[in-house]
Amino acid sequence: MLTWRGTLTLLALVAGSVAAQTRDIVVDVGVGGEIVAGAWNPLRVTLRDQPPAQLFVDIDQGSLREGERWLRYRAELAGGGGISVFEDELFIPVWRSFQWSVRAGEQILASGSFDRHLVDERPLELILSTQPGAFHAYFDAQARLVDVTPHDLPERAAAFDGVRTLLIDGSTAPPRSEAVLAASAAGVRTVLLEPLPSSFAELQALASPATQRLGAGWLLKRSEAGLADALALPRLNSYDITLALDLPTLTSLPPPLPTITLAIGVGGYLLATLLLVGYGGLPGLLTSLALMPLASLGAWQVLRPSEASQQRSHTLTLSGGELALRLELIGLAQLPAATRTVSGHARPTAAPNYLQTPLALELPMERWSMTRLVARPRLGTPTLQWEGELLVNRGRTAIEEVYVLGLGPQGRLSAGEERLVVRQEDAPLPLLYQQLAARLPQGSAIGRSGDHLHVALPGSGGGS
Amino acid sequence: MHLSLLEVSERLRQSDLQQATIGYLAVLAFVLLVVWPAAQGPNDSFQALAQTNALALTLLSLAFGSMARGTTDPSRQTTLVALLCTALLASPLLVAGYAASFPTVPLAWALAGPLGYVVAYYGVGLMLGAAFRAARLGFLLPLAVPGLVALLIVVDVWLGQPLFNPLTHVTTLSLTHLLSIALLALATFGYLFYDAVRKHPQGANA
Repeated sequence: MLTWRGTLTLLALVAGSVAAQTRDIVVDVGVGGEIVAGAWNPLRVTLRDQPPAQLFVDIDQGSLREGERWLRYRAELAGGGGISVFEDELFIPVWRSFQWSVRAGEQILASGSFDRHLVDERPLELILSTQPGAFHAYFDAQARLVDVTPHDLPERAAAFDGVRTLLIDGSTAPPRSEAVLAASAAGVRTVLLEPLPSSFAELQALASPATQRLGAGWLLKRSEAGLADALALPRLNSYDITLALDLPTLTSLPPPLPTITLAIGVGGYLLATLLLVGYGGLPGLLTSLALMPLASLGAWQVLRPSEASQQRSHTLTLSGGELALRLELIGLAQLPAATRTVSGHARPTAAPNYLQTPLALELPMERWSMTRLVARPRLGTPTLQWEGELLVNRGRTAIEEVYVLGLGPQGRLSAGEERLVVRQEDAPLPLLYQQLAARLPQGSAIGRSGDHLHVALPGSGGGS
Repeated sequence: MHLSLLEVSERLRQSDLQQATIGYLAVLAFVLLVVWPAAQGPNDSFQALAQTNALALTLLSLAFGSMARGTTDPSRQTTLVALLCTALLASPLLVAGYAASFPTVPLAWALAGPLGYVVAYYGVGLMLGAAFRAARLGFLLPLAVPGLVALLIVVDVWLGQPLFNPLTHVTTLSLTHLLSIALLALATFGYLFYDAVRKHPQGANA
């Protein structure tokens, strides 16, 4: 019979951590241990004195109706003497089961899982403070507040995909500038709460002026009196913006030969063959048998689509200040059934079975199927930028069909050109921009260079 | 085995096989045009075309095999070759459907499979005709031919193995089906060759 101490101990062992982590192998998913379902999340594996191993992550994103839909992630872990760290970003969908293991050959060194009750799609509000509770009143009751330390902050833009706010009050050690800039570029509203100590001088220098667009987000310097306004700035949804790049020019299934044309070809061949066989005797039969491969070859040449596999991308550089976020929508069309390999990280817009590795994504596709992949957001080089009232092309190619939401078309901007933007007569928005414009704030400038779109976000608030 | 292409061409011009050839090619053309997609989207024309082709050739082979009278009919080999020529003449239609559809089976399987059905089921037809005539039930052959096809499909379903059904497996790569048809075809060749040697013990071209 268990004593109450024994019972408590047993309960702690059973119902506590769902991660069978050891001191020598630690797997961290999410920022501050919080996973945002439906977003890119940082993944970090720390090995101490372990042999080379493999990381297995298996996520079932299916449903009762669809059945199992597995997202599998595999990565090689270098291991070795001392500490080795593996970092990456992993798109984590809403899951039914989420398991991971670290294996060396057949031996499982560590394993764990995340219960489906931990599924939460709410974005994170990160608070970097020794007294985080002091700021809870500034957020909604439904907000998902996470207390973090400087060490918890990743330094890659995609890792902040599920984060909405980063509030820094200066009471902790300063975070690395790279982390703050990555957060802002990814779309986070990063707020530096004044007054800040001298150890934050580097960050204070970055946040000048006090309100600035950086990439898809903001870097703001505020006193506590202005905090509510700062937290009212909306966050752009990079996934929605990327989906706006889905245009008919991306990929499409080839059109069939008109039936009437096919009928003429088939009818002509059959007529010739039957006449040859019926009236031509042996020479006719031989001629028709010789005609057969020629007709087959002709049919193949005419009817076989030139591209059995298509992969095309539409890209967008979302510029704000001195940073930019590069978004990409990849279209795949597959005529014969095959497994497609796409380099880099991406997430399918549907929920198929697929395999992701640090280098590529493998996606089995059925015959005559199309799919869209949203690439992992990454930092880019600003191209189209606002500098006060001037619109500037910082890229190396001309930007065509520039259109400023609320001010109208602005024409063409050559590489390096600066132009004062003035209100033009109302003109319809180019078809190419219509889906995108609905997701951008007023004052955004949109342009294109071929299949690549450029967006310069305005410096003042405004949202989609 | 006495066989010449001249005899084959003349056999093709005989009314029964000529009408069968015209009907067979017309049905394939009709199916291809009906299932051809009218708008942008998946092209599944090969599926219907290949199944129609396999079923039509199976019925034709069984029918002509069962009509071959007696063991001394010299035209049995000629009729078989004529049927193979008929099947070959339909190849461009199959290639057209295949090129546009991207089916999962290889092209070689798609083109060679029907030829195997012709030989295999021609031999089955020979046996069927001989058996029914021996039982003085030759008048039931027009019913027996489609009935046998239905029976083969039922046997496959009952056994749960792809052995004889030309409908399902012409578009699916199946080793057991390939072996079944190959065995029947070899048996047909063997029977016709044995029969020719038996009738002409001095040589095939006597």
